[in-house]
Amino acid sequence: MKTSAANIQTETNLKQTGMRSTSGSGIFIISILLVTCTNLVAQSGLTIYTDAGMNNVSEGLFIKAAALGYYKFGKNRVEAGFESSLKNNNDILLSGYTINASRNLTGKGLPIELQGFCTWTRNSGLLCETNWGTLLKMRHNGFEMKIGTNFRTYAFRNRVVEEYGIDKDAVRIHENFNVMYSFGYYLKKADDKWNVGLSVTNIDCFMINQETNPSLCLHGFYKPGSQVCLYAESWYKTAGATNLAINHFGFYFRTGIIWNFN
Amino acid sequence: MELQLKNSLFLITAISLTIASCEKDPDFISPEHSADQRFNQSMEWNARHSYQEIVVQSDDYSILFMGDSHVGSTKNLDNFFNIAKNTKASAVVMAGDLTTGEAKNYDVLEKCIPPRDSLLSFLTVGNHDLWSNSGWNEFFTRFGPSCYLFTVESPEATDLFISLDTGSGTLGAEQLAWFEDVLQNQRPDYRRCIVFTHNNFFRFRHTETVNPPVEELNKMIELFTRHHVDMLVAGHDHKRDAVLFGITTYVVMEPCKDGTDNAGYLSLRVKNGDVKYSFENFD
Repeated sequence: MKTSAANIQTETNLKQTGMRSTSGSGIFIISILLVTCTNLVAQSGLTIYTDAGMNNVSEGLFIKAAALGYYKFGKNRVEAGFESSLKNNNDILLSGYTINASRNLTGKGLPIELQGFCTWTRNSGLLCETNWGTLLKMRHNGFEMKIGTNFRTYAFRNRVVEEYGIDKDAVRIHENFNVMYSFGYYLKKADDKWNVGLSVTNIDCFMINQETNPSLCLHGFYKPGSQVCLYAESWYKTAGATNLAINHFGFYFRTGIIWNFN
Repeated sequence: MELQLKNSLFLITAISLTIASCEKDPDFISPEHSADQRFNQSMEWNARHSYQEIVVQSDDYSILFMGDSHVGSTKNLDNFFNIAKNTKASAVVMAGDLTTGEAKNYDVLEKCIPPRDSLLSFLTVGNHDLWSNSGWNEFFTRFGPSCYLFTVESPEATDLFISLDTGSGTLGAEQLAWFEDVLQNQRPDYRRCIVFTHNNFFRFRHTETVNPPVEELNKMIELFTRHHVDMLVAGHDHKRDAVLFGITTYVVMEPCKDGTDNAGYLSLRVKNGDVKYSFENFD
């Protein structure tokens, strides 16, 4: 049985898979350039966390671990990290990596941070997903807001293209100018010894969902010393907040540590 | 002082919401909107009724697809059924958002659909069909399952059509497992495989319509590719699109709703194993 997609024809021309995503990389490059003016008072640190949870596609428990290192110099910060899938329903071990650069643009009293990022993830044995974008972060008293846009590309892996005979024009697909957001409220100020907050968002470290699929996140932080912050988060994810009919999709719990070296 | 007041208000609000949610389930976890519950009801129905097997006389047949009629009025829908009968389509597929979810609109839709001996209709639900607290019951009691198969057997080969229920924005774990099982164990017996559902998968333009969560989308693309799904036909976005990604063509139909400028449907023709489709608009 031959089931080649080449046999599917249409009277209207097939649109080739997606629009170009050059504007996403452009924004990222501009963001990188923003951090070149430096005031060299350097700080560095490491974030390590683990996730455990379930969702509609995980076929039981999934466990992930991630590590992200940052380097901060003056008003600028660069961060890079990777995510490893320790237990899942496929054979993917390295499930994502990310790099981002940000600059503090604080004006009169209102902390604002502009970030450019690139994230690469694998949720499937056949596909990888790349996200470029930019994010503006603001915090005022207990309120924290992040808003931005991302450019998503789904692409088949090279061996899959060969194995399935995928046409070169059908290898990737782009989604441009997706909306990213996070709206949160924290009980205490950022530098307090402990804090609790609640946010609604479609952004996580290695995952950006469509704006119509938000998660609810309950955060808790505790700083036993000046260099260490322990934190725990509980994430609840729905499918389709603007869909009229909304369904549970999944949840996970995260525990982590942020260690500031300086 | 001001901060303490804010904190107190926040805590009171959080506690109130928690208590309220314990007393009454919010809509998004009500059985009406549970993908798993609808799937289980569909499977119970499927266990009592065998899947429809359409037999055609030559390896050249057509099926018409529509979605998003949002009944109300039925001018375009009547037109659609007349075209299907006049062109001797083997069946019609109705891919969700057929009504507004109100019982009175389900009554109108039910009267509008031709009897099965004159034209076979295959329906699935969209998010609007589930709206209010009785949409799914109205659908299920009248039309049966939202998740099922049917086949078209020609002298040369048999093609497989699969209906998926994405009315709640996700397939749900149980329907996904069923779909994977069908693809693994039944798909190899068929020549072509065409899946239809309501929610479209990709965001080709900025839109506030809901797509499956990214994790589910990755899984679905993987299944479609591994098991040679030829085409996904969906509605929901009200704007036509067609993209070949991997070996699957992802089609989004225009709405069949009366009063929309781009109202139309999709004509699918299978001839000697080749699948052709065209977007058609109502005059």
